[in-house]
Amino acid sequence: MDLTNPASSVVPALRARILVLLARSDAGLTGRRVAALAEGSVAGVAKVLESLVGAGLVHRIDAGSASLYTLNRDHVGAPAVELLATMRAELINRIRRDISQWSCLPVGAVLFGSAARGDGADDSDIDVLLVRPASIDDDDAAWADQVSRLGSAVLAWSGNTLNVVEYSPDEVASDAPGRRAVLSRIDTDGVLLHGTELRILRRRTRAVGR
Amino acid sequence: MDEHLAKAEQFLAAAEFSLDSGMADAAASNSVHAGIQACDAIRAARDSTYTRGKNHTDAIPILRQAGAEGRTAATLLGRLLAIKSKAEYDTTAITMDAARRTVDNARRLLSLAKGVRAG
Repeated sequence: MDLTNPASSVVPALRARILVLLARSDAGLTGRRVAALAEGSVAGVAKVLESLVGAGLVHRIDAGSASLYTLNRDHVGAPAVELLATMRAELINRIRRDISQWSCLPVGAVLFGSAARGDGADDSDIDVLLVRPASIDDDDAAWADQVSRLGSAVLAWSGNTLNVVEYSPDEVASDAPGRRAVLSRIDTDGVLLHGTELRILRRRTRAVGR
Repeated sequence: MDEHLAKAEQFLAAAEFSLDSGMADAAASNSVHAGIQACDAIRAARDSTYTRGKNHTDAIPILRQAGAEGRTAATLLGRLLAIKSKAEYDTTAITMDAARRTVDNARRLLSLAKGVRAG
């Protein structure tokens, strides 16, 4: 699944971008505005909009010389469009829910990289950083099994590979330059999935170590 | 399958040599390669039409469906790939303890693969 435009795994890419834009907007949008936001040509977007108007899924209201387009939320297909607009959030929620049910919970779990920024491609990995509790080694069987099961689930939910990077709390608190750079980058664009944010975890672990 | 097993043995031997020589990163890296080859051997034994995909992580759900051995192999492969991912992002040297555990995981995977071949 392309996390920049997840709906394109269900309908053609331009149509997907247009439908998602309309689902997220309550105000009417002009054809030119839709074309700019959907990064499509004015002519190409106009063609798609007209076909959606023809299907009754989109309303066109004349406003002076322009036309305003809105999603017809009474249409039987509208709930499906609204679902298309929330596919990325739904994937993140499923990952959150899965982790929250683990028998051995991480101290912190952060989605990072292109999946967090929403700029990936079809074959981009879903990058997740996990901070193990201090009592759990990196080869703990129960821990490893739940991470492995999440990998299988993410592949089934999205078609994307789960790429896990794991740290212990001490490693997160470490001052090694290579590590500080990567953790700081993850802190900047990461989406917290479970537990404590890395910068807080880092501060807390250092305070305990003093 | 035998080609994968032979490569797995080579990488494991290199991992053990690296570990004995105090080279933790090389030990971990060779262990990951050994583990991947061992999993390829398991999959080749289960499916004669098997060809390696571009992403090793995608092997995990398939291995998980291949009985108790497959589930263990999936978990061990997951551990090894987690080390690989970490090394791709984080340039900090791996500890000798972590390298030792990684070599152990590769050894267990190779042993599983040999068991599958022996039937």
